[in-house]
Amino acid sequence: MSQHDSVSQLSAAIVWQLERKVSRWLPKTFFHTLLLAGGFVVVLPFMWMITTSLKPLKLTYSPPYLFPTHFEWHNYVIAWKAAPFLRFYLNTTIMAVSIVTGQLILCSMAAYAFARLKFPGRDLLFLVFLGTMMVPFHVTLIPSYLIVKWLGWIDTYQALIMPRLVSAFGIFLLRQYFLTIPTELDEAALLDGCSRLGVLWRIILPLSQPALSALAIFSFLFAWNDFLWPLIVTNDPLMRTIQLGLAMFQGKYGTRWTYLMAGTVTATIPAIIVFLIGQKRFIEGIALTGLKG
Amino acid sequence: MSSGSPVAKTTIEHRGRGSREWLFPLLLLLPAVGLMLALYAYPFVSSIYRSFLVKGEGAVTLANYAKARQLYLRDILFSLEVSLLSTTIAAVLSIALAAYLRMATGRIAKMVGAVYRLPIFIPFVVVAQMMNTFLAPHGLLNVFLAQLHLIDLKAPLQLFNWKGLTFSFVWKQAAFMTLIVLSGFKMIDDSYIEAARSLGARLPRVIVSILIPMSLASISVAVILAFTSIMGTFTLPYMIIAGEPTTVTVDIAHRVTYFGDYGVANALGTITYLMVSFAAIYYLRYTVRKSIYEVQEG
Repeated sequence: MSQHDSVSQLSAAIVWQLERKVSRWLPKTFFHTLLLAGGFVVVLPFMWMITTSLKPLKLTYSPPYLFPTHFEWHNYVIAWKAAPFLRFYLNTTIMAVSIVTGQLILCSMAAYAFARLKFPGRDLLFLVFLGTMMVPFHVTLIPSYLIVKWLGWIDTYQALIMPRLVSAFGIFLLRQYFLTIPTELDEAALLDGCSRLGVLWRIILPLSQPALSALAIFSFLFAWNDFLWPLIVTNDPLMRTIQLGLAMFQGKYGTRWTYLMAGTVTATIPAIIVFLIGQKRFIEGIALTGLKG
Repeated sequence: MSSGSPVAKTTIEHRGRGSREWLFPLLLLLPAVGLMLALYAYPFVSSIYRSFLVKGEGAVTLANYAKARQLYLRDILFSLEVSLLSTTIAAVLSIALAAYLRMATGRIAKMVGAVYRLPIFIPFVVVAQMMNTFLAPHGLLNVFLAQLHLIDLKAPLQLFNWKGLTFSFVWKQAAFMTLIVLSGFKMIDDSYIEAARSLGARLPRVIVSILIPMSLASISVAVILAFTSIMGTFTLPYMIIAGEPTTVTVDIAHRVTYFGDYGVANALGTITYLMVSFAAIYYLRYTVRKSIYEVQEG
C-alpha cells in the first residue's frame, strides 16, 4: 500500500469518526439548548417578579431587565405595612391548616370505605365522586355562595373552610394508595382483635404516609393559593386571605408593581417551603397511587 | 395472586350481621358524602335547574340557553379552542420534559428538575399579574426579543389575546402535568427501557413505544385535570384578554356583576360542564374499563 493510500484511508477514518461524533452530539446539543431555552422561559417571569420587587419605585416603568441591579429591600417592609398582612397570613394559615386536617381525616375515612369494605352501591357512589372531580368550580359557584349566605356564614371561617373539607381528588388519591397495601395485614390485625377503625388508624394510615403527604401538599397549595372563593364569601377586610390582600394592595396603590411583587414573593414563600419539606414523599405518593401507569 | 402483589385482592368483605353490616361503611362515608351532597352535588344540580328558569317567570324554558348562544357562542368556542390548544401544547411539553427527566442524569437534568416545578407554587392570580406586565407591548418579553433583534419594539408582539392566554396557561399547567406524567414514567421498570435501547431504539422511539403506552393512565389524568382547570380559570383570562373574544368564565362574572342575570350565568356554567364532561366521560369509561374493583379483587 502506498503512503498516499494510507494517508487518504487515515483521513477518511478521521472524517468518519468526526461525522459520528457530530451526529451523536448535534441532537444532544440541540436538545439541551431547547431544554435550557424552555427552562429560561419558565424562570423568566419568576425572575422578573423578584427583580421588580427589588426595584426602586421610580424605576418601575423603566425598560424591564432580568437581573436585579438595585436591591431595595425596603420595598418588602412597605409592602408588609401597606395592608394588615399579619392578619391575612393568620386567616390563610387557619384556613389552609383546617382544610388540610379536615381533608386528611375525612378523605381517609371515605377512601378506606371505598378501598376495603363492601356495601351496596359502592361502585356507583365512587363513580359519582369521581364525576364531581371534573366539575369546573365556577359551575357550582353561584349556588354554593347562596347556600353559604343562607347559612349566615359570610365573613366567617366556616365559609372559607367547610366547602373545601372534602375533595373527590383526595378520596381518589388515598383509595388508590390503600389498594396497594396487602389485605393480609388487615386480616392479621382483625384476627388479633383489632377493630376496623383500629386497622385504619394502626395499619393503613401509617403505611400510607407518602399518599397522605401528597394530599396534604396538594390541599395546602390549593387552599393557600385560592382566590375566587375567599373573594366571594368575605367582605370584611379583616377576614381576607393573602391572595385577596395582594389584590386589595393593588387597588390601594393604583398598582405599584414593586410593592405588589414584594408582597407576591412573600406570599409564595410558605408554599415553596411546604413543598420542599414534603417533596420526596409527595412525588412518592403521586407515583404509587392511581396516577401511575 | 401473591400476597405481596400490589394488585392482590385488596377488598375485604365487611364482616357483620344485620344492620351492623351497613353501619361502619355508612359512618365512614357519612361526613364526606354529607358535605359533598350539601356543598357540591346540590349546588351543581341547582345550577343546572336554575339555568332553565328565567327571572320573574316560573316556567322551565330554554330561553337562557338561547340567549347564551346568541350572545356568547363565539366566547364558548374561544374557551374550548384555547383550552384544547393549551392542554395539547402543555401535554406535549410535559411528556418530553418528563421523558428527559426520567432518562437523563447529570447536572443539567438536576437543574431542569428543580426549575420546572416553580410555576406549581404560583397561584393563578399571581400568574395573571405577572403575565399582565410580562406580555405587555413594552414588557419584558418584547424588550428581550427586541434585544435579540427578533422584533422591532415599534411594532411589538400583541399578546393580550389567545396567544398570551395560551402561553400563560401552558406556563402554569405544564409543570403540574410534568409532575404527574413523570411519576408515571418513574414507575416503569428500567429493564424495559434498557431492553429497547439495547435493541437500538433511540430516545423518541423509547418515548413513543415504551414510556407513553405504559403511562397512559397518568397522562390521561394529567390531561383531564389540566383541561378542567383551564376551562374553569377566571383570573388569567380576566386580566390578560383585552376585548373580545374572551372566555366563558369572564362572561359568567360579567353576567352576574353587571346584569344580576343568574339564569344565563348558570346556562353558561352548564355548557362548560358539558364540554368538560366529555373528558370526564372518557376518564370514567377508562377507569371502568380497567375494572377498578374486579382487577384488585383478582
